[in-house]
Amino acid sequence: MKAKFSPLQLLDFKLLQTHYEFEVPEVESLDLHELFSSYSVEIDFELGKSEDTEEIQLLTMIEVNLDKDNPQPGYKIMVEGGATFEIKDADSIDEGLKNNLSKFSTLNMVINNLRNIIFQITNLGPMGGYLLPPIDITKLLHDKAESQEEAKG
Amino acid sequence: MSKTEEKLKNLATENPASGWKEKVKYRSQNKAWIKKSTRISLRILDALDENGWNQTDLAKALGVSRQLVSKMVKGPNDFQLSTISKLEEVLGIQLQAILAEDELVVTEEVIREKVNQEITDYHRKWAHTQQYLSLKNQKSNPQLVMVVEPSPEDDYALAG
Repeated sequence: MKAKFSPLQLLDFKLLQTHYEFEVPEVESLDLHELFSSYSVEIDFELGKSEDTEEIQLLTMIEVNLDKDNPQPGYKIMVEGGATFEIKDADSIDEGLKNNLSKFSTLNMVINNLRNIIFQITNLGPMGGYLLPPIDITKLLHDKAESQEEAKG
Repeated sequence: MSKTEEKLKNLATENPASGWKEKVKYRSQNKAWIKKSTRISLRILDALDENGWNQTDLAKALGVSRQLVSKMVKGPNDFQLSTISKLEEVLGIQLQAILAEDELVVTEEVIREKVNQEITDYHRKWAHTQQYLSLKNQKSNPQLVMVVEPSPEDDYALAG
């Protein structure tokens, strides 16, 4: 099938920060799948729009197993990336679709990029590659909206 | 027999009058220097444009006939070194260079273009990074922050 390109264009992606740490587990045998599943994942992001160029900037940070209340052995990772997007012929696109592309798709793409980066970093680690589990993007957007409301109020 | 038929018959003979086979053979055997000659001719034409000269001006500067200059720019022309040196002198250009085994020809123009491209790329990349950093520090640039609103449409995929 011939792929149709989306009006959403990824113009730039930069890795801005990384942190990698490996904590040796005390027990000898470990179920890696179970351990990786127990890792806490924190995601924060900021969306911005430049007024002159109509470009969308998205800054996203992912923290894996950095929750001090529930520390697990193995990997402790933080990655932060910034991306710039543009919607081609934005005026001719339906508002709902534009909203979907500018918020949902952008975040989805950046998280995917960061997932790959996390995998590449951990792939060289003692426990092998860690794949960030699929993330509920809608929930992330709702939570962000709520936190912005709280900050306003 | 029509003229076309005559021509076709002629071309089909072992020794056609047009001599196209010989011409093709000659071109194939002399490919290397003919290519160089073409490049020299094109460079001469470019230099004429750059200097605002016509072929008559060049003929005067070289002290040769207008017809000879015309032959030089039409090519192929087995240029003599003395002719090339004279052309380089009057047009202020470089037509030939002897290179060492590991030497490459890089013109000033190419270097300038490459440097400019690198500077532009660097500025573009840095501009993006600056935007990310200002987004990180929202307080310094509140106008830039886009509010995330809960979408009325909840039909988005739930995983990403």
